[in-house]
Amino acid sequence: MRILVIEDEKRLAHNIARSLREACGYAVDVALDGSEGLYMASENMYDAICLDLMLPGLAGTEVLRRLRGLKLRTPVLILTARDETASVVALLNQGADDYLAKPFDLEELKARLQALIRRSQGHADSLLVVGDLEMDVARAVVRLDGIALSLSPMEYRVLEYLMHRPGIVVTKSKLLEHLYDFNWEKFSNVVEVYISGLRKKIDANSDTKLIHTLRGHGYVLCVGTPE
Amino acid sequence: MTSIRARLLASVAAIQIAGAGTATYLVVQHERHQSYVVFDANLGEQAAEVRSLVEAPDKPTNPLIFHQEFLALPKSDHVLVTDAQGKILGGSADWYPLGSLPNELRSVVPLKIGETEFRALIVQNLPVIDTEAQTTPTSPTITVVYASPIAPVETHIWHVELQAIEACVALLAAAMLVTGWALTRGLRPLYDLASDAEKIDVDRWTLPKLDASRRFLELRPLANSLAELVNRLHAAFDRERQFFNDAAHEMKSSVAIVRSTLQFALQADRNAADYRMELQDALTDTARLQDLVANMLDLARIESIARVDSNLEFAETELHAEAQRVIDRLRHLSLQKGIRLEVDADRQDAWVRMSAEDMLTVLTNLVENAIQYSDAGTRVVIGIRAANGLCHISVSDQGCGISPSALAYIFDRFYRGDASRSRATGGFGLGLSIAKALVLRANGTISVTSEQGNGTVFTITLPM
Repeated sequence: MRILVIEDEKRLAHNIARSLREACGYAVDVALDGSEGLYMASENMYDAICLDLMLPGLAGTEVLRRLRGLKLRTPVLILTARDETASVVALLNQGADDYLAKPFDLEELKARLQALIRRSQGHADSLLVVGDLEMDVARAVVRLDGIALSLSPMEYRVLEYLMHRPGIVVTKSKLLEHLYDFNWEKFSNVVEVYISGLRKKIDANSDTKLIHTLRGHGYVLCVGTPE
Repeated sequence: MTSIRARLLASVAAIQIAGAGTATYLVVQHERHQSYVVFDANLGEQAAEVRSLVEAPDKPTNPLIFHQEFLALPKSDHVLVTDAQGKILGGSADWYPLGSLPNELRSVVPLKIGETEFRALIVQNLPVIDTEAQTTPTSPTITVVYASPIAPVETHIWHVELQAIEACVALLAAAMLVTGWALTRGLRPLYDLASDAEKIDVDRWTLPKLDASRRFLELRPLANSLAELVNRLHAAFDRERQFFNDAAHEMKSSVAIVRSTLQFALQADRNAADYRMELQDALTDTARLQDLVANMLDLARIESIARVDSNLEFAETELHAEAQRVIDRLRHLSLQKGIRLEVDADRQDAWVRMSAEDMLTVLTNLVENAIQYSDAGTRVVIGIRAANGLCHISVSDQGCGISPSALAYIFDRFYRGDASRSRATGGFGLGLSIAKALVLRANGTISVTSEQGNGTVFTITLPM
């Protein structure tokens, strides 16, 4: 998953970013002002956006309005130090998906972001299941036949993205878009490395393969043969 | 409590009563005059009738004959006929002779017979009409006194007076009703304005009836000043609310940072070195919170002291030394940004009435602000000029300048000229507010001029 944090308090943005990277295994980009945030949000594929309201350059509400104007449906979680009901209602009506008043709990921020991402993919539960494979995104735990798997952070990221979209073909470029933030060097061949790592851990000792490769298209996570 | 309405009504009533009284008096006087003209004419006619009953004798030596048997006298009237010598020729039975006769040949006099008031016509030297109904210079003369009681006339006049009074009272009542109604109607715009003003609240700052009130010449000054008052209050209230919101925002943000740092530290098991690093970060974050609280308390303290005692006694401070201290203090920051700090003074000792500590704060805040908005290679100059018992201290930079729209708010608490830069500079937007509050407290003034692209000059004027 790749998240964009638009927050002008450098220290807070930094803390949110490293917390999401560490605890959820997300790729996180940070924008320190509104216009930069809007640009990044419109140029990259994010799975969720954390948006502060009091932003220099372009106010948070304006960023939100323009994002929705660009038909971007990325879930947006508003961070605000103002919690007047009227402005919250206006924001939700303007297309925000959730909000969190400062000072907030990082745990709550993570939980709400995960819920937003889940729901945007049509999952109500934080437990994602494909065949014998279970992923608890709230606890960042993956189980195969009830036994916990030990995954590297990047393997977890790839698998989480695929588990959110079971049965759907995910192209390599799309995976790349959602796996890396700007802190990482991008090498297209690393995706194959993570996929093969995941195959070893998930499909090696099983008769029913879950991870499928469609040559020239991408990857599909599903039970049985993909259509 | 007095009422304008009651006062106006009383005034109107007083004028009405005076007018009605005068009118009644005039009407009655006129009626009295008219009635007595008629009354007197009647007396004259009656006297002429009586005169015609006197017959001259055939021979002048014989006495005059008064044909009393033809006298058809109204019962209440009295008559007396005498000849030129005063001998009574006849009259009504209960008649008593007059005393001395008046000098005029024809006169009307009041007369009291018994208890009754009479008015009598006395005609003297009246020639007797002869048989041919003519008078001649040789005709003998008589005196006729004819008296009628005045009671009927007085009764008539009293009736007229009563009617006039009744009419006046009715008119007065009508006038009071109309005046009362007109006053209510006339004062309605005032009540409307008052009820508008009554509804002014923190969420309602409009006077819907304002334009209607302004149409009235008398209400316009009140309506205008009320509108101005409301606008000023609204602006002041908004500023306070803005301050409160900004303060809350800054506090929450600062707390959010500390909290997130600590939560991140606790998020995973870490080794001692990592924990130490996180705690160090948290400590740095609390310093920011501490700065904010200190700044806010400073500002509150300065402003509250300024309000309580505007005649604070200040120690004298030498500006040149303070300017040098500020430059020393900010040398690190200025070197970092590549900006030269200079003092430009027209004398070596300029003393102003402000404590050294306050002066240091003011200059530090202004110079810090100047450095933040300047580019490398430019200068920030502290100028000191003395003239006419006043000291002008300026802090000028060659930075980006301040837009005219921002200039008006530059001293507002938490106001940050260019939002995109302010965060990076780390200020809270309180430095200039604190500087202004300190200068004002020392009975000085502070102003700012700026040219976009060419720099900004802050000027402080203090008594020496």
